[in-house]
Amino acid sequence: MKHHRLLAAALVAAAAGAVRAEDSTSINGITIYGTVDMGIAYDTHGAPNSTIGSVSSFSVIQKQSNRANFGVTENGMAQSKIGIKGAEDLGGGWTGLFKLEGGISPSGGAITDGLKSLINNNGYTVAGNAAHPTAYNGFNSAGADSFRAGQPFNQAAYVGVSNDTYGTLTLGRQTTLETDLVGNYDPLRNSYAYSLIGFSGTAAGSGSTEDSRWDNSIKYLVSYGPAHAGIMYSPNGSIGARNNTDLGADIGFDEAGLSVDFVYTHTKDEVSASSLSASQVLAVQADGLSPSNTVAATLFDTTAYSLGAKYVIDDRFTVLGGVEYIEEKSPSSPVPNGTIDIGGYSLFVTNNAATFPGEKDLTYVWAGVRYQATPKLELATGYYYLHQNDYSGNNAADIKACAASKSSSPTCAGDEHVMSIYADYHFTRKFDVYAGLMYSRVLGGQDYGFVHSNNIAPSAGVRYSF
Amino acid sequence: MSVAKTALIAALTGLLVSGAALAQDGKEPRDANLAAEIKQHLSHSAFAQGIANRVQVIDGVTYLYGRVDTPYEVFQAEAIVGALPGVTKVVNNLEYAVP
Repeated sequence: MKHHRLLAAALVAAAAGAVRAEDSTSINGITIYGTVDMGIAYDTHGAPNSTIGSVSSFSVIQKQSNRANFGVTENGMAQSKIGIKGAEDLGGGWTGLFKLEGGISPSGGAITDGLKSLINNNGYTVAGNAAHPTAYNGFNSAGADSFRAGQPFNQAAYVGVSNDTYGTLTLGRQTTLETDLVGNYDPLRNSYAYSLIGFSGTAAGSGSTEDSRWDNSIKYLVSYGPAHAGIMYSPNGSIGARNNTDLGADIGFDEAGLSVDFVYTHTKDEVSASSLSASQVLAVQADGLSPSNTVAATLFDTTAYSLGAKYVIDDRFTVLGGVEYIEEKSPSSPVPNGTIDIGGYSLFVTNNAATFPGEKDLTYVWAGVRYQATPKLELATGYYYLHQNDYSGNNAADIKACAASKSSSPTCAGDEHVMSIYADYHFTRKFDVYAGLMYSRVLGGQDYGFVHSNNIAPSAGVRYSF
Repeated sequence: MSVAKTALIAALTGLLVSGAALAQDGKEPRDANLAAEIKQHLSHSAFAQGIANRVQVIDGVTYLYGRVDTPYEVFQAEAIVGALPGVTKVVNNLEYAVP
């Protein structure tokens, strides 16, 4: 952890120096930027807040949501972060550029680490767990998987070149084209407190939040007239020994306030991580691994197609929407227990060679409106829908169970509905306050293992960005 | 093949056709020159890494597309572009969000 603290100190010192040098966050082509977002939130069905995960409170109903919860929370409107980026004129229309950006958790002062927030819940049993006979860490808090796993620059770390005619080529850890689409076409701005596709990275990660960014990736973007296109590739072995080859492509256009993008993504060996159950804690220890550094994992290959669109009407109304279809199949290259994941954590692979009895399909649909009531006040509302098919396949037991009760198995067909509204007022360009409400409900297979099926989550907060 | 998949592929086909048509739709030379000047102005700015190549000018009205890193930069981009000679109005279509 020592190098984390040194890097954070260096960034803060650099930011302070830049601000003193001129009343701007840029100097000599280097820009320091960031966001700090804190607030309060209430959940009718939530869990105690986390101080290290991306989502410090469960604004969207989750399995662990077993009580009413009120508290100070973070990142309601936007992930807190600090970054440094630069652009250098190379002559002949070429620019060299870089970016280093890390998500932070201001409620605890930590570098955001979703996997650690899962480990904090290792051994916990959702439905009460008074005795905790086999728990390792075992306490109930808002733990959630994330691509932010304690890396100092967990959100971006890349370098490249750009040219007005020939486009931009960058290499390193960077947002996927699907993540870019989800960010550009979400009416509620990917906010954890008000957006399903912000709270959950499943849509942005084409099936798994950990794949919202690709390590060791090559990304190329180019524009021609109103049209633009992109392609992104992450080769085999970019994370440990996993055969996690990833490929994405984007095509779209911008014309007179109308923007449209279509993105295709194909990934191998995606990881969806979760906390270890009490019995898995024992199995991990028997396998020679440490429960303090290990998460349960489900691996799968995915293919995703998505379409996003938005249109600015009369400068004040922006209508936004999108649809994404994700196919998840058992992994083409199973991996052993102890395989290293992002952040250096170990995977305990609970499902591997046969992850799903049948093909699992997820369909996201979302739409909403933003209204610029005054130059300083933005109002937004939106609706999000997620459908999961029945992926029981030929598993007779699952088929029978789903016929008897629609939420008796995770393989049953299921749905999730989320509706939200917020108001965001900017006192200045850098400082704003916000308040809003989100309602979420799960049904069928999406409701499997849940203590409660819905949550009403009002929240408010303040944000400083620079 | 599911209905959702078929619909998305159909949408992609429409997108390609309409995008190609738009690319052939010639703009006023004055607008094109102004767009080029704005891109040039932004291209070497770290602050505007994500938007430099996605600027459009129609009858002097400047449209900004793409993503910057913070809400502050959304305001800053509009202020910088709006102050450039020839820009009569800025339609700010920028996003700062990222999951």
